[in-house]
This record gives sequence, C-alpha cells and structure tokens, in this order.
Amino acid sequence: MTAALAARDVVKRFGSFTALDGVSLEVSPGSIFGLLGPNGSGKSTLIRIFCGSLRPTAGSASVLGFDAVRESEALRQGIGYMSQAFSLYRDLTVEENLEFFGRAYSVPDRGARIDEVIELLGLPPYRDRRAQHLSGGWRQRLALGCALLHRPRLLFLDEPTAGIDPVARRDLWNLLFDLAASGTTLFVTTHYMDEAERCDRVAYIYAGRLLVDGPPETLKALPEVTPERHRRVAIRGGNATAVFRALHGAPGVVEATVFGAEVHAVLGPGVEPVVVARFLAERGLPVSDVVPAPPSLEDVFVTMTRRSRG
Amino acid sequence: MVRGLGAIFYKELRHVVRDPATIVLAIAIPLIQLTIFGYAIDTDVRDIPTAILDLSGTRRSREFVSALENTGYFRVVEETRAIEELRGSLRAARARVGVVIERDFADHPLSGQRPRVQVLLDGSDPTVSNQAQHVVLLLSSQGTRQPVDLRPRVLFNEEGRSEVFYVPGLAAVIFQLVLTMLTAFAVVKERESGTLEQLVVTPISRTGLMAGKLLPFAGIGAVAAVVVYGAMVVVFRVPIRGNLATLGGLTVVFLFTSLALGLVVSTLARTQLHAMLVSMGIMLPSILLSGFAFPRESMPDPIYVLGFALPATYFVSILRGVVLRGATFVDVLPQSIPLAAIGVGLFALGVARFRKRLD
Repeated sequence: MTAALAARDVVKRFGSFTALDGVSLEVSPGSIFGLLGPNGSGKSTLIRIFCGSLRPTAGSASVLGFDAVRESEALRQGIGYMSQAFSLYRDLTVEENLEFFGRAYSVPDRGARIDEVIELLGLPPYRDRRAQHLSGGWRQRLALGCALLHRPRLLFLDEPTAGIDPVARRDLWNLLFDLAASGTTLFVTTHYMDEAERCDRVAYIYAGRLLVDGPPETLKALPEVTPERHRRVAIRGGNATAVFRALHGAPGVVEATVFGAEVHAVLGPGVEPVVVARFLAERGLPVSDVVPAPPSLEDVFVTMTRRSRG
Repeated sequence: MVRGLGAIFYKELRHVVRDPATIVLAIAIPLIQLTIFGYAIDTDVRDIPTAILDLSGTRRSREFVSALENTGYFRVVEETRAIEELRGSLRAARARVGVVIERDFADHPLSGQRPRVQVLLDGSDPTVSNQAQHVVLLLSSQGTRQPVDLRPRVLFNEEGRSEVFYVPGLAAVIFQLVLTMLTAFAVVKERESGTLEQLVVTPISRTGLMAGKLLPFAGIGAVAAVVVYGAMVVVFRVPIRGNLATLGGLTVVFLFTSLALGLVVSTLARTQLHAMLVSMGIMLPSILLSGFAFPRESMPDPIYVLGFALPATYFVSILRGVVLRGATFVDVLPQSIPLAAIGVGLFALGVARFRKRLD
C-alpha cells in the first residue's frame, strides 16, 4: 500500500533559521500519526509544507500521491487542516463558517452535510452563535467541523486539544478514532504523552530534526532508551520527593524522575533493585517496592533529546 | 478558473451584514464629502478684502471706489494714506488687493488721457489674484472712451458657477478614495487575523478569491454612486445632460478599476497599517494630478504622464463630459478604453501578486 503522506529529506529555512533539517517520514492510510515536539521544533512548519502553504527549501513531500509543491492545488480537496491558532471568521456564526467552507469545497448536498457535522460535534445549541463568542473547546470543535466537512481522506490537526478541558479532549479523541476507523488518515501534533500513546505511530521532532519514529511500543523497546544491562525501576511507597533527592547523584543511579507518587529511576549495570531499597532505608527513607517498570513515551523522548544534544 | 467565487462572495456579504457600519460609511462619506466640499470649493471669489489709497480724493474717485464695491468682488476694508501703509496691509494679508487712485485721476476728463489706477494684487493666492485681475480688466475696458465690445459667452456652464465645474470631478475623486480603501484591507485583513492560514488550504482559486472580494463592494459602490449623483442634481443643481445608461455603465467600469487598485494595494501590504499608508499615498495625487483641482494641460510632462496611471484622471474627464457637456459614449471612448484596460490590468496584477502560500 502506498503511503498517504510522505516527506523525504525536507529542509525548511526562514532566513538563517533552519526550521526543518532533513525530515523524512511516511504515514500509512487510515492510521493515526502523532507528531510530538516542543514549541518551535518545526511541527507546524511540517504540516504547512504538507498542506502546500509553505514550500520546502529542499527535499520533497507527497500527499495522497500528489507532490505538495507542484500539485498543491490538486491535493486541496483531499485534505482537511485544523490550524493551531483559531483561523475561522470570528464575526460569522457557527453555521455561516460551515456554510462558507461547504461552498469553498463544493460539498455535495451541503445543507444536510452541515446539519450532520453540527450534530456530530454537539454544536446544535451554538448554531447561530458567532465564533468569537465560543469558548476554547467549542471553537476547536467548530474548527474541526470546518476541516472535516468535505470528508477529506487526510486530516491534519495541529495541536487540536491545546487548552481545552479533559472531557472535551476525550470527546475529541473518540471522534478521531471514529474517523480513523472509517478510513481517514490523521496527522496530529500534540504535547500530551497520553495522546501520543493513542496513536498508531509516533514521531518526535526536536530542533527541526526527527529523532524517533515508530509505534509507541517499538519506541519504548528501543535499545537507546534503556541502554544495555541498565534497568528501569519504579520505586513505590515512600516520600517521592525525598527519595528523588536522595537518589540524585547516588552511586549506580543513572537517572531519577518523580512520577506522581512514584520515583522512576534508571539503574546502572549490576545495580540490583534491592540495593536501592537498602540504600534508601539506610537514609531513613523506607520504601515498599522497587519493581521493574517499562519506559514511558516521555522517557523515550527525554532520552532521545539528551542523546541528540550530545 | 473562478472556483470559490461564490463562497467568498457569500462570506464577504455576511461580513458586511455583520458590520452594517461599513455600508453606511461607504455611502454616507461620499455624500457628506461631496456636500461639504462642493460648497467649499468655490473659485468664484467674492468680497475680496481690498485696501484703498485714494490720492485723488475727488468725487469721481469716490464713485470709482463704490463702482468697485458694487461688483460684489471687492470689499473695502482699509482706507490708507500712504503707499507704505497700503503695502503693509497687503503684507499682513488684511487686504488681498490694493487700489491706488493716482493724484491726477480726475484731471483730464477731456484730454483723451485715461484716468490712472494702479491695482496691487496678492500673488500668494493665485485664485484670488486671478479673479481680481479679471474683474479689474473688465472694469477698465468699460471705463474707456472707446470701450471694446467684448461679450464673452461661457458654454456648458452659462452662469459660470464653479460648483458645476467642480462637483462631478469631486464625485469621481471621492469615489476612488472610498472604493480603493474598501478593498485595500481585503487580503491583508485575512493575513493579520490569521484566517488566511485556513483560506490558502481550500480549493478556492486566486481569481475566485479576488473577484469574490471585489463584487460585494462593487454593489455598495453602485448604491453610493446613485446617492451621490442624486445629491449632485438635487443639492448642486448640476444637470446630467448625457445619457444615463452611458453614465451608469462607465460608473461600473470605474468602480471595478478603483476596487482593483485597492486589491493590488492589499496584496502589496503586509499589515493593515501599510495598506492605510499606501492608500493615503494614492489619495493626494488623485486629488492634485487627476485634473480635478488643476488643469492637467499646464502640468510638466512627467507629472502629466503620471496622471494617466490614476483611474480618477479618466473618470473626472468622463464625468465632466457626460454630465456637463452631454458627451456620448463614443465621445468619451478615448477615456473609457484606458480606464477599462487599467482596471483589467490591476485586477490581473492583484491575482498574480496573491500567492496561496504563507511565505
């Protein structure tokens, strides 16, 4: 099966600033692809290149079999894009915004489709409300509605859940799973690790370079994440903050992080969990458990970022 | 080719409906400006402040002064006793005209020598000095023994009312300013508010976008034109002598050209402030170089040529022709064809300048 989306050695420079530095990736049709990275790492720039609204300085991008530069007009009908900043018409109502995009994409049977989308996104009570008077979560829904109104085969969502409440976030993800199940390919950027876990495939971008790319489980099993003969443990049942302080710089402990009520640590070669428990008990910090723990995606990204900084 | 025109047209109409102040201003501003400036721009200067130095001091000289005043053009504000005093009055602009009646004014009634009057004109205001000079010459020719039988007849504007001459040109200039401003913000506003980001990823074509933005404003412009022409006829009693269909058709061409000029400004500007500044930059030349305020014939060649770039130049001339002289469609073709060509050129330039990209 050919990729729905592919970037090959994409470089984008703005003056002397390099926003993307040789990014290559592929997204298979009908999958959810998550792109993570800090602000300014190049996530939005990459999406804009795929949408044809920015031209890469070097490299190439193809979307639904079209070249994103030379055939940008041909691919428009097949893609939907929800930008990071709200970019709909604030003085127009929910329905008028949908009506505009319905006309722009020549959506067949427009009126019925608009009703359907309003229903799907739970927007009926806000139908005649101006976009500027909607709260963040409802704006995001409207933006998503405008992006998927024309039933695109590929949907780009640039931080769709930034700044919205947890319920709206979960609703939105349920909707995304439905869309993926019906064959839509989704390309989503996010800051949330739990959202990354829900993706079929995840990539992490840092300073314009793609550091890792793969299914979440594959990434967690990467040898770089947990170096050979090292082990990751979770330390439970103690004062997490005090434990973290005590472990910082302790012999045999490569890394320690507070994770809720637990402390996650990477132990160097030959360091047994029981040694750590004894070390802590000697310092008046008894803990109940020191058990092996798989790395989280956050661990993966932290490790990869440190490695890339050298 | 014009994919998305309907969508943009729909959206722009909704914007206008949401913000009715725009329509009201777009119609009211030309109307108000036409009314105010139509009255204000009156080169038929009357009551020119005049200082008198009567060295003769005779009954005849006093008769001459009252004859001057009776023309209605001169109003005596100062009676001076010395030439220095008279010059001082002019220098301080208390008077614009100084009349010196020589000592021998009443002397030789039968000698055949003409009575001597010296008139000093304030050249710093050419309109006033020209007018005064004109009247003085007229008076002096009537005062001679063998008066020249000069009976000038003014065509098309028989009463010599300056508002008849200025109002149609004023309408053209005001239209261009308002219309250009309306579309000057069209694209740059989308860029500044971030909506361009979403717009460029839609299948809307560049031509569709530009035409869709232009059309609603053309509609508003047409309404404003009807209102302004109405005011011209009713308030200023300027008769429309030409064919109304010709006037209407050419007005539409002018609306299109002015709006297209605004679109070009909008694609050049990166911010709304830029668009505003560029619009202002077009404003003054449109007033000064279009032939509305000063005759283009007397302009130096480069400036004269520059005037051809302004839509107002053609339309000032078209309006004066159709409205005042009753010119036919064929009569004004030499102005209409370049006006239409500039409109099409500007529109094409706007489309070409607009890129469906963010960089």
